[in-house]
Amino acid sequence: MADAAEKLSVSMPHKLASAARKRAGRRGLSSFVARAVARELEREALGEFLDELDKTLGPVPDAELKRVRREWPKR
Amino acid sequence: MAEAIVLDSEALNALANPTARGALTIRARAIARVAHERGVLLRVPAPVLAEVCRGSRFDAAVNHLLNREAIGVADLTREIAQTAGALLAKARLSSAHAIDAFVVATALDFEVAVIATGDAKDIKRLSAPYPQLSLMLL
Repeated sequence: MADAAEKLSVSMPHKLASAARKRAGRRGLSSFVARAVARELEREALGEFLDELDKTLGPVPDAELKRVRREWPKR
Repeated sequence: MAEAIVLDSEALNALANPTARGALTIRARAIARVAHERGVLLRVPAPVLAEVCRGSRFDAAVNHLLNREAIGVADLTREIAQTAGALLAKARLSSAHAIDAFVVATALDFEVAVIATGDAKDIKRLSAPYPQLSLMLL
């Protein structure tokens, strides 16, 4: 079952709000903002998880990070 | 949907059991770190959980990782299941490779995706026709 929606009042810079409205279009600003927030929460949780691994196991060697960046597909 | 890193069972295990997996974990952590730098989300296709959840000893680590909500589980929808069937037919592979096919079909649900895999052979065969998919070997 989908989570019940909660109405929030947030403030953001005017330029950002107009760009978000424009981009959200007919999908609606609420669902656009909800997806952006979900994405950011997940990204932060991933960053925290990786930082914890770095602390407990030691950082990933630079050479390995460089290798992955090099292999990353160019789009 | 934008871009994702899709994890197979080896990649998920490497992140869920980081002390037991040595070099595989370092590679998986590097892939996850670069994905994070680039704002790319990590996804585990739900059928992969059938490969890694084999009793409480194994499940605890996977549940611990997934409960952090740092990696999302991509549900197996009817569309993905049917795409997987079509992929198997196209690659002339049997249902024994169904989970690999679910991994590739889940990746196809994104505009572009990188599949992090420990076993490239079959995934490569299934994903070969799709330029929006790339592989990263563990």
